[in-house]
Amino acid sequence: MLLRPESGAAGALESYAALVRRRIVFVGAIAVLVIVAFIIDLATGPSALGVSDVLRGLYAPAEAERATAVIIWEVRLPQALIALLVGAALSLAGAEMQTLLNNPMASPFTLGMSSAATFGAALAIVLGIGIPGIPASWIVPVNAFLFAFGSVLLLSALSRLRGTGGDSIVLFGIALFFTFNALVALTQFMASEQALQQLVFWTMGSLTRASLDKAALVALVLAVVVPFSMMSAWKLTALRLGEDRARSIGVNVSRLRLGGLLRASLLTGVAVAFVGTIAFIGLVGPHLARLMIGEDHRFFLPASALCGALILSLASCASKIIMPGVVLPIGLVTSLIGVPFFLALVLNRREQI
Amino acid sequence: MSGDTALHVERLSAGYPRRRVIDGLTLAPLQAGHVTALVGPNAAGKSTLMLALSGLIKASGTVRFGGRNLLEISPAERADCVTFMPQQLPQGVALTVLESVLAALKAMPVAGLEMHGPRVRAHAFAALERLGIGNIAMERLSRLSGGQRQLVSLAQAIVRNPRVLLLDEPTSALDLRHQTQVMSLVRSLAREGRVVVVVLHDLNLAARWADHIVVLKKGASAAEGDPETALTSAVLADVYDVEARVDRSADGHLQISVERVREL
Repeated sequence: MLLRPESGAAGALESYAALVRRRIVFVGAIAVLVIVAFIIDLATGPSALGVSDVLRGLYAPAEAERATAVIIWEVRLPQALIALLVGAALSLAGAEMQTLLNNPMASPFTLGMSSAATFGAALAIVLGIGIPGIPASWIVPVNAFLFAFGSVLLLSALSRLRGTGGDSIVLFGIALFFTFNALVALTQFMASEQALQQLVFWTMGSLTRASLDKAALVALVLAVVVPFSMMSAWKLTALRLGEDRARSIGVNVSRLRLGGLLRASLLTGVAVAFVGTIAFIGLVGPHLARLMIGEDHRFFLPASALCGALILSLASCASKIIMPGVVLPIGLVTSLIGVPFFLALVLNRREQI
Repeated sequence: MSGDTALHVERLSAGYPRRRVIDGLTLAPLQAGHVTALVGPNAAGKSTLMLALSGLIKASGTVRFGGRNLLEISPAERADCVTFMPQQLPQGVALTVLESVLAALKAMPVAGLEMHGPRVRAHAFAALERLGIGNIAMERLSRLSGGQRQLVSLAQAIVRNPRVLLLDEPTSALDLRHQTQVMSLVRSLAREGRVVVVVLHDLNLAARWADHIVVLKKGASAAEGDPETALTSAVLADVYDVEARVDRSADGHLQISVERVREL
């Protein structure tokens, strides 16, 4: 097994350099696909505005008809931007969580962060409970964010009680998932007809509440979080070699884990706050990136974010195309398309092993 | 070389919540340049001792190296001189061999080593070549055999060029040829002036390659010294509950053969 002729250091280092170049090209290619999906997303919708109309409307808003400009600037653009940004946020959160908890099933959705955020939103919608002094239109998103954040703090506190292993965190996460889902069901039970409708909309996930300032806020959170994620890239890659090994070379794994989970809750909180619960992006995005690009986190993290952006953009297109004239809640689309896609992915992987 | 280069273990206590495995263990100095083999039956505390020496579990007492107590310095400072190789690599990791060794090198800076550019990659590759696995540098970890995985794991440890190298059963998955190759490498790593501690289950391998042997029983040292002092029939009877014969082979190495299990 070890008797193959040596290709020599120069050859091996050259093929490593080629691998790195290939990965950069790959990340660039996904980025191009994201832009294409974004443009298609802009050009689809119940009103008949094609690519050229939309691009002209964006480029020279003054010349466009007023109705057209409103559709483009207040509906299509914010929704397409939010789809892109939320997809990136959820997928990046999922990628970091999967590495930090050493579990391929970890994601904002499966560990109860999304459920916690939904419960926070439900409290605001149904019972009007929120932080005093927050403007009425922001109570729901702020609550969603605070609960996502709180669920992560609870998760780390619980796991600290029992040692910091990744496995126990996953079990606690599943417990949180069911607890918060039950609490959401309870508020639904108590809700008035009108609040219930709003809540159901929330739990299904929808882009219809998108606006440009919300998109700007998600972009801001991403801009703050991504540099910290990238600074931890080598440490995260080393963590994939085993927790004992990472710690033995001096990586402070508890601090890495706490920081990463805080970043994930920030991303999840802001995402869920504006679009409701969207499952599977946080799970499928990282898986897709891992299959294509491996787990060198310098490439894996950006590739995960881009894959998430791509998937949610395409899902947004699909939500408008599947039933002409009707925009389906995007959370339904990702779940319905996501499940078979995910199964195919898992089965395919099994074969490879 | 100036000063004391040995690793001193004094009154070391370590274990897990509600279960202390090692209680007040003091060992003769573990000399730099020597291979120390840690042997003993299952649950004797070998792995616990390794984890305590590498700072991965809470321990009290003194582990003195280069004038400092390793138990009292920060993980980053400790990692500067001590590297621990766990028994196994995790499964299902989507990295190539070279990437994994680079990650072990670049996750935390190594004192006195440039961390950027082509030099660092050449350094990582040199670690692979030293173990004779340069040819699988671009192979995925998931495609490797058990023996190759163990060699890669060892490469991840030696790439940081530690002055204290702690290896937990580095030969358990290797065939005879690779066992010999790895133990001979372990010896040459020690001869370069490192403290090397190796957990071994195979007493013949320990007798053949170690300069110094520590036999652990229930968290305490049952015997220590060169192979001849530490591996006697009496010690083996006491520690393993077996009747064993210790002979000397034609080339001068000890050979241990177990005759029967002692009645308890």
